[in-house]
Amino acid sequence: MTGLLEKLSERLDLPAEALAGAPRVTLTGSDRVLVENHRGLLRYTETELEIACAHGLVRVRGAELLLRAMDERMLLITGRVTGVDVD
Amino acid sequence: MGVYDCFNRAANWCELRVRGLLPAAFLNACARSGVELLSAVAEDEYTLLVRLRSRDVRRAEGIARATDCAVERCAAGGTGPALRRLRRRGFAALALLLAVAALFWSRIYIWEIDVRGAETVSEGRILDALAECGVGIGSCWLGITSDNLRSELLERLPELGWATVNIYGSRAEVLVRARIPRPAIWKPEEPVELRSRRSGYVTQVTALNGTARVRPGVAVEAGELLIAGETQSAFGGTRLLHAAGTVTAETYYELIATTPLRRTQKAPAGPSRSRWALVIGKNRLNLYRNSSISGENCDMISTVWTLSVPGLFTLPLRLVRETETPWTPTETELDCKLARQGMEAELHERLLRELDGEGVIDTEEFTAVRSGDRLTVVLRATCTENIAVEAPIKLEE
Repeated sequence: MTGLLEKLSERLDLPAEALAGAPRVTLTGSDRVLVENHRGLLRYTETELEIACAHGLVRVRGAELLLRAMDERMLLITGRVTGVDVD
Repeated sequence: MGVYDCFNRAANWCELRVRGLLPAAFLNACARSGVELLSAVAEDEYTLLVRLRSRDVRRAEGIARATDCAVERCAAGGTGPALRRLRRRGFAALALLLAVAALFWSRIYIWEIDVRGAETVSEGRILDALAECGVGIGSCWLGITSDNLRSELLERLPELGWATVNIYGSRAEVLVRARIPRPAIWKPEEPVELRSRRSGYVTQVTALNGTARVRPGVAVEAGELLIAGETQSAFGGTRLLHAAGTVTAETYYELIATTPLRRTQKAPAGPSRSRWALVIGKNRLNLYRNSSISGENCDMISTVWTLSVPGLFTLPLRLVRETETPWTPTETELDCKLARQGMEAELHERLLRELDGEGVIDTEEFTAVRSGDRLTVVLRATCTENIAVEAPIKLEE
């Protein structure tokens, strides 16, 4: 269903996150990551955060990572970000 | 610190430490429940330090329990606690202000009197005289004039030659000096003669003024005329004058002292008992119930601590500790040898006092006799001294 909605939004030139709930990860410089449309936090340490999303997993790696804010829709991570993986 | 942090700090926040197998589940549950997180720090894989708004704390604690996490409150801050702190500081500042005001108010009263230089007059008499002059513990020093006080004090205590009162905050320092006795005035026109003050064997006569009535080699009795204050006038008759000179004689002393060898001394009869009291100004507040003393055979030592900073101020607050030590009279036997040594030293001192700086000790011999519980020590001494003393002329001789 999610894949279908994604394809539909692609055909309609609509943003996938609006229609299909796909995660939207915004990296600002190397010290701020905003993850929208998440499905919850799976793991949180100072060096790595695993965030559940509609299609899988977003992994934020770095040092001194700090969860600055979190609500049902988005979460904000600060710290020295060295990588963002999407599985 | 960014604007975001400033807002977060201004809000009333609370910090929770959340421990659990999946602490992230706690964060997710908070996010779903609308509990706003201000920050979350991962202390380790199983522990989170979460900062959230104070109003959400109870809800967050419930969520933590629901997600199998242990939770504890660590710190709180924000405008509310800061205001409460400010309020507490306000009270503290007010208390400080009141304390300073009380300190200044107490400084216009005398709470400590320090008497110095009292040698011939007891400190108690001086304090009594000061109290009669209106200066005592708790009196206001603003109306005290040092000159007037000095005059009144010297009037009440003629033994004093000089006195002054200095006020240092709440401490009055009373400096006194004993009156110096007027020295004997040599009056050459006053007719006097020299008589012997004790019996002895005259060894040397020096008559500077007057007529010598004794010569070396004679024995004289106490009170005997040595140098007469009258002489034959060139115009006939006798002329009275002020006799002067020295008559050195060998004198003999026999001083006796007796002491019992058994004495009654105090022996502790039980444990000491201390009790405390607080003296505020002139009022005493006993910090004990039973105020009766243990009995007549009881020593009491009072120790007083005054709340003061030496040289700066003295507060009208004193802590008194009274220690009562019961004792019982017990008979003890003195060491005969030690008693004899003590008495010999005492007799020697007595002999020096008798000589009064007018002679020297030539020979000194002690004899001790014990009879029952008494020890008698006899000092026999030979001295050389000036035995001549001035005396009014007795014309009939």
